Amino acid sequence: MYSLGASLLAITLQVSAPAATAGTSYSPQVITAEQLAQAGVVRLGDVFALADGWTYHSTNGYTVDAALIGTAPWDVPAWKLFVDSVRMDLRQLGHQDINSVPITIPEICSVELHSEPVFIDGEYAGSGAVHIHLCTPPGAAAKVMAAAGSVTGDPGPFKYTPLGAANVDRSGPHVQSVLSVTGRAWHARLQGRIDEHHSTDPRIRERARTLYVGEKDARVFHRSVYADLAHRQTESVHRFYAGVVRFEDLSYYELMALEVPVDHTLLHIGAAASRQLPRGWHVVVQLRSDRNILRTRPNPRNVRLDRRQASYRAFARARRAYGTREAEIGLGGGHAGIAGVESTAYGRLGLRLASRWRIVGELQTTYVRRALGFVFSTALHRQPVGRQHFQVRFTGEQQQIAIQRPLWYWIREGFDHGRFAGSTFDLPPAPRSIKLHADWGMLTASGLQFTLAAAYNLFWNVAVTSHCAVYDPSTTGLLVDPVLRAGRGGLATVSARLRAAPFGVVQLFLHGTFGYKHSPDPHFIQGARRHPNRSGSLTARVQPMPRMTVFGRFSMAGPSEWVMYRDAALAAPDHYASTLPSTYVMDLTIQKRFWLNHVRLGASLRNMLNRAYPTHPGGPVSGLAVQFYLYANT
Amino acid sequence: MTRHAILLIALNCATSGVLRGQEPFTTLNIAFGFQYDINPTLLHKFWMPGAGIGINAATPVQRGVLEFGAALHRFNRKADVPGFGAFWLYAGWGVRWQPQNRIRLGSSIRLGNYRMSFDAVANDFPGTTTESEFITGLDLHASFRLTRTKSIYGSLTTAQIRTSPRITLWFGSVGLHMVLAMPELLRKLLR
Repeated sequence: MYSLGASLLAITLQVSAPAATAGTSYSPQVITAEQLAQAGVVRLGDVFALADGWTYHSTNGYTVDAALIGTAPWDVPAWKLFVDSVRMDLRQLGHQDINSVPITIPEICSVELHSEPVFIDGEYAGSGAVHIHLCTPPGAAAKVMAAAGSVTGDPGPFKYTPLGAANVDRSGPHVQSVLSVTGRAWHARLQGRIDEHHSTDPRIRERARTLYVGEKDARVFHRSVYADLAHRQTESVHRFYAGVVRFEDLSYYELMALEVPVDHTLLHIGAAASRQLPRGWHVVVQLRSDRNILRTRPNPRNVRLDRRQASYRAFARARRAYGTREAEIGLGGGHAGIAGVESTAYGRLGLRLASRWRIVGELQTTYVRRALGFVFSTALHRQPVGRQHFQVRFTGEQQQIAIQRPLWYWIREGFDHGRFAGSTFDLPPAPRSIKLHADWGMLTASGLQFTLAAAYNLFWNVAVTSHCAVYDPSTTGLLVDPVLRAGRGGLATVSARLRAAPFGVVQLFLHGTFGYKHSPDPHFIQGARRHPNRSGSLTARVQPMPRMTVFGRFSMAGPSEWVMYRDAALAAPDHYASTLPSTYVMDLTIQKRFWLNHVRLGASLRNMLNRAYPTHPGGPVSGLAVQFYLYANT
Repeated sequence: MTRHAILLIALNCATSGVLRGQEPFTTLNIAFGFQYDINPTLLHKFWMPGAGIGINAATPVQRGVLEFGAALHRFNRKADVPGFGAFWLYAGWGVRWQPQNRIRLGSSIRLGNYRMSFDAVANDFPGTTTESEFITGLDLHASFRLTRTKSIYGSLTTAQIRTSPRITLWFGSVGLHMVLAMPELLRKLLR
């Protein structure tokens, strides 16, 4: 049995100040509300289709498993999600689906995608972060968004004839609405979302039917409500929020390779307060609780995945500026779900060196179940010279000792309880990593913006989690055995981004990321191949007439290899694949605004080249998809 | 079909000069009439088309004409399959020109959704009894002006429903066309 002790050590040297340099820096990539609307984004998962250097896959076209190219690929959902600087813990059984955030698209002001190790308000995100900022419209406001779409290629009426071909997914209807009232010193908001996704492809339908009981086909059914209340004064801000998300019917679990009928509920409750104190001190207090309740519905094979997991945390920080210097200290504690009770201390020191250089140091210690760990961070940043920007970041990290992780940790990661309990693994004693990130950007007088970024991540003794799967013809699912091994190796990425506006009504964005991996360990390489090591995109935004936009994006992702599915792909090539070829996808969204900006009507063509490509080795092949949407706001 | 649509629209634009800038949303053109599916396809091996009705609303924009429309179609069973009714909802863009005082010609391309509701009960044909699919369309029409605001029109419309296998339908239509001044409230909304 594994002991419950754990420790965390991370040393970070970073040379950046993201908030000040977001304009020309590679990270964070900022996607504004207007860009989301023009691109026809109706689900949060669609954001990753606009993200530079991120990759994602999905078995059903709804649930999105995303990862940053160059981060630990065996730890897919390692990125962290923040909403208005407060983290939301979404992880459950090896998945972290951004669609399970109870936030509506019309209420998002911007989404920041961090592709470098970063501290966000005292919380460390070592494998990327998604930070959602919500809007606060003045006065009373109401917003509604409705959308529906379909993947082409359904048999339609031919399903009743011998000519009927394979069915494909159906998306929607989606309805999202927001009501908010903002007074002189306070703000109240209520937002809700209803969403459906029908995965009717035979690959999924056959598997789902082995466990799902019901007259109609299983689908993903999402309902969520989120409310928050804020009170603002000159020297203080208080904010409370509560959200609940409910998923029904269908959820794919990789360790079983089956769609399991579930009722899944996520609860998020929290509060944040900040206050300006005398002598330049600024104090921030955060409280949050995330609960994750998974109930399995009765099914013919009596599969049970029932889980309850909770994490809660209290964190307080105090910051003070001394001329060109600033200092910050923080104390926190709580229950980190699987890891157990943890206590955290945090410190940050910023200092200007000479006229253009600034250094920032951050220290975080973590005490988890009688084991002490710490995070140390130092940041050095060169202020923009003219229209040029430069930052470089070094991160050293020592994670939890894998062998001391509790059994529940591995269960949460998706390892089946029964199978894992009888297995033995040679787990690494102390995983460590070093991460180097450099970022240079320039903006010319003509408006041309160019950014170049490079990152190098080196890992030792990391727990490479993988699976061996055998095809089960009785369910069309897999019989999976988990494997944990120690691995070491390096991942390097180079990224470039170019933004130009050659004509007044045309904007162009060009992006490319290329990754490279090296390791003497074949398991490390196999794990890293699970995600494409290169991606590229060309985005064009055209405004042919007032209040009308045409948003087009051509994107490419390199091939990937899923070793887990190799045997299954040989046994049942119609149901599984082990290698996914490169994909070339072109999306087009046409949007017209009416009644000033109060109403937007749009149509999106996803994969308009209609090049069939699989989104997951065990998922359907995607074709041309169409989506119509309506935005309305007061 | 997409190639044909692009070619036709390009031809229209080249010959008519209709894509010159114009004051948008000045008029509201309403057309409604009967539609009938006239081409034999694979679909007609199993279903027999019935009469359909359609309505179309169009208004000039800066370049060309923006239109929205809907149609109801009926397909009766011929073989051991359920009959179905279909609802076509679309948005489109096109061009109009007037070669003669009383005659007006036009063409448009349309994108929309084709929702099919089957007669079958769940016991006979398990699964969902509706299907929605993306549909592209191309329309050619001519109208003859009877009064200042009223015309009769005839049109030939082809539509491709992106099912597997794909369904290509040709509809012939006749009906009444009216030109109305755009209501001020609607004009403000569209602007």
